[in-house]
Amino acid sequence: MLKIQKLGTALLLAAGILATTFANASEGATSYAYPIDNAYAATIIGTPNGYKAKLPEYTDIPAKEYALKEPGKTDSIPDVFWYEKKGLKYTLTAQKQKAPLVFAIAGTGATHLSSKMKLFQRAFYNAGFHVVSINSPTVSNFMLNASETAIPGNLEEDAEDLYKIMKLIMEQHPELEVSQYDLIGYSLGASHAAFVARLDEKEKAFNFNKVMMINPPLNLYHSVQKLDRMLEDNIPGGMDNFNTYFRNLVNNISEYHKDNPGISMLSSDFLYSAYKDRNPSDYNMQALIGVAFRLSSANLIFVTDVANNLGYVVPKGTKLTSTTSLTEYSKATRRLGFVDYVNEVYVPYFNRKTGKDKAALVNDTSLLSIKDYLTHTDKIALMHNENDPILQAGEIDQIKSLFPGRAMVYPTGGHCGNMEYKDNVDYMVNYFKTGSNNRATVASINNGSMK
Amino acid sequence: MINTIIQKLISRRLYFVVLAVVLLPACSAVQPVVPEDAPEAMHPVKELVKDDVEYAIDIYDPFEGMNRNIYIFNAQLDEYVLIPVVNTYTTYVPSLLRQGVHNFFSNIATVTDILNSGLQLKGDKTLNNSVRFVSNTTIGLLGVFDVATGMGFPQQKEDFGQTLGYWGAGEGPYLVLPFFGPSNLRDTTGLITDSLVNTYFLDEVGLNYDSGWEFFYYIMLGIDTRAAIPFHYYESGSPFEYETLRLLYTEGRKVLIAD
Repeated sequence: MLKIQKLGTALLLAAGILATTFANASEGATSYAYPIDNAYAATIIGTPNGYKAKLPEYTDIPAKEYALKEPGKTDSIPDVFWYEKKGLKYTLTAQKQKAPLVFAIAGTGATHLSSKMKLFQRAFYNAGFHVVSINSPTVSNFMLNASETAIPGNLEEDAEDLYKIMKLIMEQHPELEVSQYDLIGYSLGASHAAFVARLDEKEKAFNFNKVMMINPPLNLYHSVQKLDRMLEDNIPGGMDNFNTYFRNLVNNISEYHKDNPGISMLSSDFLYSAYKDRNPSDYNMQALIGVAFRLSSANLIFVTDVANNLGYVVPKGTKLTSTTSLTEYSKATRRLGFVDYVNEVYVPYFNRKTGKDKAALVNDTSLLSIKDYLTHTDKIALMHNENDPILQAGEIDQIKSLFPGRAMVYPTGGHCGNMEYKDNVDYMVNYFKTGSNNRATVASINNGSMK
Repeated sequence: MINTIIQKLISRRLYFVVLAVVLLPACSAVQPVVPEDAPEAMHPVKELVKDDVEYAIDIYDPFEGMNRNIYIFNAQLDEYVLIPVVNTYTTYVPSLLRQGVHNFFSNIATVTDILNSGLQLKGDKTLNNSVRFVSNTTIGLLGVFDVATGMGFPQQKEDFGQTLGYWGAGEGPYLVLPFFGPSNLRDTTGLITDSLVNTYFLDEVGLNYDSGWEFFYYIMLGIDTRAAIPFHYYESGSPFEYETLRLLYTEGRKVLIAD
């Protein structure tokens, strides 16, 4: 059964690659030179050094970290998360003079300091914008300090939390001179950006000038199902044998390091060079993507469980302190998937709250649920990749159809792997820099395929 | 001679390390306290975590309670002292000068790199590190300029913890050291040994307590070392950061020992 599924995936993938090749040939977009064709490798490695956009280093821009405390929130944070009691953390990089401001929202499990958020800081500060980076609503710092429920994933409620703290952040910086507001997000942060923009149409606190969504899932639930399976289907012998997979991985890194003493293990090109030399199988790489996602979902499950005293993995009323060993809970929560969270925490909670059934709640996590808004607004642009592995077959076309004339879809890049590539950075920056009635010109400067 | 060095170390720099090693056995892991009348969790740990399955995250950590306390101490030391100092340093000292300072300290550490490469019978590395030390100390003006890397002799660090590992010494219990962070019994032994060698070397070249420069030397070494580590406590977004760092440290050291 497993083999058949894998074969199916491989065939779909092959079909996808063929389709992409032909699509590109017909559109003349052959000069996109992001160097990693494999979707999984691109997702893991990102952009190799020689291909990155030339930008100032993060340490060379005036990025400052701040904390925002909502009255009353801090007292309710359990002691085991004592380090989150300082408030919601975010980064502001400010220009000295009046400038447009870009809000950036992080993807699943990522904080305002993730490398992709630092990329936004560097690129947009360099282009003359103020930049504010905000944690994903799926990380503990946000869940505990800024969320009404600490049960993330409901895009509309997450957007309300985000919108509220974006307003509070601006109140914290009355000295900042802002000419207009823009919004960007990647992965789940892109979905959040869409819902925040939609909320802003009613609330009008920011009147966003432009919004960009980078590699959003079409339907959050479909994508987490796929990511859960990437791990569970690809560990030989099943999850009980994860340790063997892990030992193998470490041994491979170890061997490669031994054979190549000249490449620092900490350098970003270590993985790229290892990938080119060793050609790991797709199954191995899928499993690795699955691992990264599993770590995020385990974090989320533990935090929501403790913060809400759910009795999900941690028995109700359990006393955890700043020095309690959490090792057993880390092992336990990593055996559950994001789908378990959706079915056993998310759906029951929002079912009680709204009366909606599972199908309706799952539908709410889809961009299709705000189709009318997305297709009609002209302020939101999409940047995506044909081979994004978090999407199910056919979903990329559905996403494209939501952004008529506003979708830039690159042939390669996997899930967010090409964000640092110079063409992509140019495209993002130019999109926001160009005047609002000048969008068509922006599209034509690039080599991707404009849909 | 060795006695005075040890006394000096214990009395000043490594006081906390020794204190930690002495106090560690007093503390074991703090386990969650589950109320007696608590209903069973929907997915109890005992259902998800199996006894006959190996978990990479399980690392021998009998002093976990103390380690977690020191982890918190280090996080606060970082937040209130080290990071502000490092930020001031990177703001006011130009990067070229900082690089020079970094090269200078790396060059002095090359002494132990040479010794440890030799102790592991790694001829190529010993030669590489020796050429590095000689050329950087002379042409590179006491190590301020790293000319050796350009000449094809890159940095290849080897410490005494790696030497012990190379000869088959196990990790021993995981330890979190004040100031230094993640370690284990093997690597702490290595750290103390390398420090003794370094102190001896510095004494030989005239940089000792009486010269008045030693204090300045260690302050700058501390700042340079911290500035080079791209890690900030509690910014991983994970409630299991202690466990994750423990795993990464342990596996990372295995990789370094195997090379």
